Amino acid sequence: MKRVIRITVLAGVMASAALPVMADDIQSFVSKYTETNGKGYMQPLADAFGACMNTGLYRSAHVSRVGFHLTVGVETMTAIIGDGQKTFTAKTENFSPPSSKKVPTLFGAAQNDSILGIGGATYWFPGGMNVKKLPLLAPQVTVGSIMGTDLTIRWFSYAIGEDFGDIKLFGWGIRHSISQYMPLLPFVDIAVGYYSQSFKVGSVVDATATLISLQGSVSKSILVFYGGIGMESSTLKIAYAPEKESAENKNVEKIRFDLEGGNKMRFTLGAGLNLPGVKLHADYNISTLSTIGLGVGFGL
Amino acid sequence: MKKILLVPVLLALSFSTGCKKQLYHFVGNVPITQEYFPDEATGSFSGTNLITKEDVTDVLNLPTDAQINNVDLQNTGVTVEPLAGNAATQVLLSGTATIGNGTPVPLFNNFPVSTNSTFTLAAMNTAGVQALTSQINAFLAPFPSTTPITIALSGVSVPSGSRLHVKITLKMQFNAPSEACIEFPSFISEGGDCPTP
Repeated sequence: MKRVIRITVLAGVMASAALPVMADDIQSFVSKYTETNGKGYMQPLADAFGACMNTGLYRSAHVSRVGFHLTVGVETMTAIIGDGQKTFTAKTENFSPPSSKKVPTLFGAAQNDSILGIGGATYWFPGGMNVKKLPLLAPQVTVGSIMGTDLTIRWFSYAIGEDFGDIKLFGWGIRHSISQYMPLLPFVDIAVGYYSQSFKVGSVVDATATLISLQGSVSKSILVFYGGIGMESSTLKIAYAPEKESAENKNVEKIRFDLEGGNKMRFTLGAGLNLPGVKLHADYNISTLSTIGLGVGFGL
Repeated sequence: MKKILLVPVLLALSFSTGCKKQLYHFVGNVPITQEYFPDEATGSFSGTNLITKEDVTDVLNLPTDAQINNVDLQNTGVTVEPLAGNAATQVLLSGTATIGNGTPVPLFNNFPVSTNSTFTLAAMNTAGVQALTSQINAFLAPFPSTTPITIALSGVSVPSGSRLHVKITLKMQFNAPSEACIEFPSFISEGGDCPTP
């Protein structure tokens, strides 16, 4: 079991090692903008990040009344980026004549755009990264049960280096079986769960997410079909330097603002395989920004 | 069991691998800030500051290997802060740019700025802007020029003849659209094709 846990955590860390590089590149893209346009440019990242963090937190609604159960696994959460996430209306700042234009977001086309002004001036809007999907990966442990309640933990901490700082993920969730009070529903499991997570990459990414969900599932042999309705929220704190500090350009103030994720409610449909010692599952989460969850768990 | 344990490792590898160099576009900020401290009893002043290659390269916030396409002027802002003994309520400012030992080219003429305020210059002389950006581009060329740009600022106080004792900050904001090849997972993002070496 220790070996299983070690390999699972290593997998999560390996996949997430790319995140600090992405975070550093994001600063290069967004630094052209102040808060006025920075919010519109970065909003799709907040939407996708929050949607992903609230995915893959459960794979069935079954929670035993009593008994020791431990599942250690890895969850992948992927947001599918649609056309609506790829442009926003930006406004020129300190520019004559004042103008606005539909331009790429961080997920939009990888091409700069511009507007001509008076007297030879030009206002440039940065391109994006032409992102098709945003995947995240997290190690996850579920342990239970006491009185039909189990606990889910997501955690890892990894020091990438002086340039990037640490990656830190911590999430916890508690889930309680409702169907244990309904003996007339022998084949259907129903549970309610509350989940809270935070995810940080150095000083560039700082995200939090919360999900309250009503979960249901039906099992048949090794197959399980599950679904749920959830109310969710997420926040992404953004901080970046718009200019480089130098002897001539001192005391550059960082631009800071918070973005709320667009997803407020989600519907989950999924299926899983409960093999001896191994659980596999896949689900689709329907919301303003939809996500796909895939996961594998090992344990009792 | 050993084969099953490969599943999370393969999942992680699928995210970590598939990286390739792709072309992305950025816009860097190049803020050039100059300060002038006229203290003239008659209200008429003139002063100069240089823009050197290092003034531009030191503030450019782009990826290290970014290829800069062309630098453009976005705006020019002027801030006038009154100092002790100042009697002027406004200053009429004029500016020129001179490349090396060349002929001064007008940037703006008799632009009124109230003391204790910040203004964005709405209209600058096109020829002056072109001369300025042309030399800024020369600072960032593969074989960069080191010929400095002299910005000469002059002005008169309003009311006429009133003592002018102020701090004038001239901030020119240039944009540097550029491109760079960055290694990134191709299943996440589709950048352009990097030029073949």
